[in-house]
Amino acid sequence: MALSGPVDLAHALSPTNDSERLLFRQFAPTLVRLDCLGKVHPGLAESWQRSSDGLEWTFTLREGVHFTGTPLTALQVVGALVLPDAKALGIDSAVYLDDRRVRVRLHNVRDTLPSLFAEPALAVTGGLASEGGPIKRFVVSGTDGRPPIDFQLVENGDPRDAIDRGIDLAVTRDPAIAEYVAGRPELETYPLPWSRTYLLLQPSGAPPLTIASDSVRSSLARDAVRAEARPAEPPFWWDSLATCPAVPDHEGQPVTASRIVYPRDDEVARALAERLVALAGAGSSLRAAALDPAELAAALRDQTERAFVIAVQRESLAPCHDASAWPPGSSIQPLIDTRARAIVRRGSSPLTVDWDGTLRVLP
Amino acid sequence: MSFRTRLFLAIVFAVLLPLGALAFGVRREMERRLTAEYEGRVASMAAVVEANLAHESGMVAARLGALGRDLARDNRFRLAALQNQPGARAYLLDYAGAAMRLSGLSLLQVQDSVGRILSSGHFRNEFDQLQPELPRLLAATPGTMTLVRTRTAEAPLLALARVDSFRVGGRRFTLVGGIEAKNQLLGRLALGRDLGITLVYPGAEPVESSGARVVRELPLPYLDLLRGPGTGLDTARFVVTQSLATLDALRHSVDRWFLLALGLTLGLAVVVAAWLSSRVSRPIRELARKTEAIDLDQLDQSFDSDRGDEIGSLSRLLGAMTDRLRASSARLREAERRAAVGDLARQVNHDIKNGLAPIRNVLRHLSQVLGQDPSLLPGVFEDRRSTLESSVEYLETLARHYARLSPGVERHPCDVNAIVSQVLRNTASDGTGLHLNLGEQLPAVLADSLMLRRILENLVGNAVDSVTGRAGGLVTVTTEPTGDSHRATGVRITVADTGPGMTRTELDRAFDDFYTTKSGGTGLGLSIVRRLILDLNGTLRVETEPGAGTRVVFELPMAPRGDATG
Repeated sequence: MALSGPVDLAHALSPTNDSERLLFRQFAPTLVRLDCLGKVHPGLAESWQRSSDGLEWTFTLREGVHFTGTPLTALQVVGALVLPDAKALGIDSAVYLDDRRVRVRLHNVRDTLPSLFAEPALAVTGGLASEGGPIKRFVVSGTDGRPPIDFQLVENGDPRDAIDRGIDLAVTRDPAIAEYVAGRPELETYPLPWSRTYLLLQPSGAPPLTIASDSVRSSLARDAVRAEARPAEPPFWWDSLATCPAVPDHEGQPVTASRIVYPRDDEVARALAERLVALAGAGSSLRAAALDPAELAAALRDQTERAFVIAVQRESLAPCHDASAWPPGSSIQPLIDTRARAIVRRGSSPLTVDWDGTLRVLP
Repeated sequence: MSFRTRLFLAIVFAVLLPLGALAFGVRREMERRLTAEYEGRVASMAAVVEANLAHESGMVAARLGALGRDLARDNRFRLAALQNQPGARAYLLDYAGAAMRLSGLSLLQVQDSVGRILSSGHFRNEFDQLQPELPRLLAATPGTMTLVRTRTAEAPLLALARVDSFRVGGRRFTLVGGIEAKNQLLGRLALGRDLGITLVYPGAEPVESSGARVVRELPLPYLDLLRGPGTGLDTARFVVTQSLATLDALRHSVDRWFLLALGLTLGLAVVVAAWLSSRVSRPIRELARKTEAIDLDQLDQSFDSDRGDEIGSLSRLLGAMTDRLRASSARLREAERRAAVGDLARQVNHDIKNGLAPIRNVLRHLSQVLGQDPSLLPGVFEDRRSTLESSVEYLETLARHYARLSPGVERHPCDVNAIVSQVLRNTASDGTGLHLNLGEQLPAVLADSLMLRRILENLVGNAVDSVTGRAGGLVTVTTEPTGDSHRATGVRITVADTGPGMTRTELDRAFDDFYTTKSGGTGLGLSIVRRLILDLNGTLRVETEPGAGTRVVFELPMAPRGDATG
């Protein structure tokens, strides 16, 4: 399988791009998994039971599950459920009952099994996340008689080279690549769900920058970006942020900067920012600027820029958690949705799509 | 300032001034030649800049022409631009970016006939914007490139741009293309280490002038699209500047070397000047030292020299002069000796005459008595015998003194009134009134009686001489104690006459040796008087006026109590 973007094992619990999401989904299992329709399927756990008060859930782990060549233990599962992120996601505690059973206590009562347990932040990584670092190749050992999956980073970032070398699967958002393989009979191209939404995020202290109409969004999706895009369509998970625990009243600092910033390695975000600058007119002092991830995080925290063009997953199992890095009280304007395409060699392993549009290799 | 210091400074300045003049001249000549060299290079570089601009303009024009011809045949462009076919629209939007990269341009824009941007390479997402002034104003300066300040999404872009057009389907499209002015063109126009080129346009930072000077300016049209609609053409300039760093470095280098040479020369000059001035001044100082030591009593300095220079001549001259001085000194000593013998003879003569005068008077008196009444002769002789004896004793004592040549003073208490009375008795007055006014209870003075008698005889003799022949002439000798009424300190003796007195000039010379106003006088009397009084530790003063007589007052100290009077 081709990894077209950089992969860092340190991101195992919070993947930052399609390649990391694809890789980690194959070897970092969660207790349950959700399919593309939101239906819960067994993951590490084969069954689960709700306590009478609805606060506690007891999971029974599947037997014979191996992780990176060694049997998975209930203690490893408990370890994944007591990380700081788990607390932020609403898990109060996790208790080891025996070698196959784990009891999880939630902050709030849930009548049905919360889909939260499919959240990648609760995946079991066996310490890979803490020992992580950039990788160029990763082999996920096969279980239950399946062959191992060999993930290879595309050296120059162009999946076409990997496809020409005989790779079985590549996920790309570049229409040129889909166009490239269109006439190749040994390859199939499948559009994946609209999985990413680009937002225009404006701190409360910044002068408003309004995307006037749907036609502008259509123009953005049609002409501004070189990606398979559409105007952002609701529902949006960030619309429910009002139910999140209240943050202290935040009086937005006046923003004097005139930049729209975007992640440096995101071409779609760059194109959107540039188009917004162009739409602002020749007399405007607005301009676009790329920021490194650390700079972007700092700018979001300190609210030092006029606006941010960022990409978020269209689906979220924990909206409050996923929006925690945004400036409180920000104005959020969805711009476009994008999706990737899977280029699959005919005859390779069957695939399915998870709730968030990530491919999963089936046995 | 000493001769040696002057010589030292003269040598130092004689070395330094030419060196300073040399450094100044070298510095000035170097600056002049370098400046001329720079001006030549600047002229060449200005020509190179103009040629480069023309070349770049031609290259941009050629690329735009090729792109226009290519677009005119491009079906996808035709579909997108004329048919507005959605499938070709993405191609059109990306066209300028790709073409810009392929053609090496930094700015590329495709506009339709109304000035709407169809595709932009430097700012992809400015499509659909209206910017008709850009091709219109560029077309106003045909054949030349215009400096255009436009924008990209991230920062303003400064480009040298041209415009071209092509037709597709009967519609006119314009192509605006250019190269980035600052990085691409200015980089190629790097003129070397000392010459720089800067692009100056309205609103730009002023040319940094520190360490550089502007030597040439090349104007070109300028269009600032960031000012918004309605903007017009302005003027920008390529400014060629010359860095003064090399000149400064050369100047500093010359200064450093000059200072080094100056220091070395100064050190050498100081050493040489010190040595030379010392060498030159040493014989002069030696001559000065010898000359300073020369005295009438010490004329044994040798000025022998074997030098053949001026110092040798001077030394020999001084030697000859010393020889002459030595001879003159010998002659002078001889003359002095002879004069002293003469003086002594005159003094002896004077003193003997003084001693013989009483004897002559007594003998004259005896002769008169013998002629008038011889029977009275024994009595008179007996009466004047003491005078004769004292005169003889005086002459004997005088003889003893002269026998010793340098008689010592034999001080003992003397009765002043007795000596005064004796002197007056021995004085022949020839009708002159002699008046004696002796003080009572005078203390004895500490003196040599012979010296006191010589003093009084001289003074009384002078006084008698001054009134002789004058009617009513009177000589008064007065003695009185000095000090207060309780305690006497000495005796004051005044010899006053009613003679003609002395003028101030006469008084000033009265005590000089051999000065006299009397015919036949030796001029030694008062001189001897003064010396004798001083030898007796006494004081002397003279009160006189022409026509008012003369008062000679001298005081002698009192003898210590208990000493017997002699």
